[in-house]
Amino acid sequence: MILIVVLIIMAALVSMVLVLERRSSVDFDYSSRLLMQNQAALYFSSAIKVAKKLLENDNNSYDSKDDVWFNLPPFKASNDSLISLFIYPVNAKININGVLDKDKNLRAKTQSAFLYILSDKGENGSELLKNLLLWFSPEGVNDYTATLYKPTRKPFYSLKEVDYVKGLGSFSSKFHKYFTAANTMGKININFAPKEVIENYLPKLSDCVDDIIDYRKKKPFKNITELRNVGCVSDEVYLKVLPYITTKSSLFDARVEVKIGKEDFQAEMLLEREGKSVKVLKYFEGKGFYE
Amino acid sequence: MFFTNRKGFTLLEILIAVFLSGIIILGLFELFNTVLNSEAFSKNKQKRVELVYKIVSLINRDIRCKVGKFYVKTMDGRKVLDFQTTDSLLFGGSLAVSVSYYIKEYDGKPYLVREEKNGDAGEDLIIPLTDLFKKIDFRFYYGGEWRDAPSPIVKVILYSKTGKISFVCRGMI
Repeated sequence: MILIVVLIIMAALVSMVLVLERRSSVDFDYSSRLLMQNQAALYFSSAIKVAKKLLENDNNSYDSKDDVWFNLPPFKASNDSLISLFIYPVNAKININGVLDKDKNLRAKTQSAFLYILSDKGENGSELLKNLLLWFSPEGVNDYTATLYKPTRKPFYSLKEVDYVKGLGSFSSKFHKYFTAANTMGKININFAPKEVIENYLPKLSDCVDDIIDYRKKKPFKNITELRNVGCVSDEVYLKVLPYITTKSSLFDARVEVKIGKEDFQAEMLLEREGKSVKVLKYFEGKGFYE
Repeated sequence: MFFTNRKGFTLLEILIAVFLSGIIILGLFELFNTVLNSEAFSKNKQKRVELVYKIVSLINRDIRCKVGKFYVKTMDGRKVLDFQTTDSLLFGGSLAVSVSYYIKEYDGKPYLVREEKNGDAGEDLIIPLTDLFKKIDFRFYYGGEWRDAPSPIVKVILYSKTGKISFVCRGMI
């Protein structure tokens, strides 16, 4: 009898301790997750400072793939955390907001580049261009009466906002290599622009794209006049593309990836370099939010 | 044949036996009661911990993704924190929206509310997050002290019935 009572008491005590232990370990889990998020935010903050410093210290008069900020190795911050920082000039891409630019030529260039790049990738380019232009027009609102997101008729804030245009649901994930929503002033950096961008944004250079890419692989273009060194670029073509090319960038997309233990954190920001000072214009958290 | 001893128990023996078994039963009852209570208590507490974790995490992220300045106003005598953030719950990462945090009464109960205004882009999103807190306060760090006037570093203080939670955060821009 006494043995049974003792056993019952023991079982009750052990179960109580186990319950409390399990609960407190769950509480600990939440606190440690919060701690990890704060740690990741601190890493983001440090990465922003590093990105700013690197861009501020870049004394070259041109931006190319040889720059220090473009070739950053991942940084091991502690035993279980790894920080990767990727900086990319946004003027390697075409500004999607150019489809509405006041400048007639720029508008036409952006629209035709949009049409051809999308068509090349197997999309119905003309239909999607029509949808894109309708998004900005007063009558376009009628197409979006039942949707959660309505056209604002303002320039796109981010490339992800383009995803809300009818038919362009996965635009930001499919075409982020070629388009941006940041203001590139209509100029593209010939040291960074992908083949498709040069071909479609500057069709006059389409015969020379491979030569341009071969040239910049050997040495970067230090200024735009060096484009004439590429054999097949004639003087006439050079003068035509001159207003739309550059070798310098002022806006940069910086992506920070932080891995702490098994958790991944990602932040993206738009940096602006003006002379010697660099500032953050836009900041997003989460995976692949801003291009 | 088995019960050869037919003497039985005396009254005193029975009284002692009843007394002892009473103590044991009472002890066991209390023990189980405590176990069950602690189970219910810790389950409740765990829900609160989870909720607080989610709310702190959400406010922190909203503030980290802040665009522009903080604004503090009062509504029905209660403080409201207003700011723009790219951490939209409806259109995450696409654009900047206006977010406000305040306490508002629903059916006589105070609720911590997160209000997201998307302007022309879409519907407003008003979420009463929890009735755990009866007051929210915001203090701003400037020149070595915490003040009421907005500055980039904010301390959010949430008052519950039993105590308060406070945390400091700032925007990345």
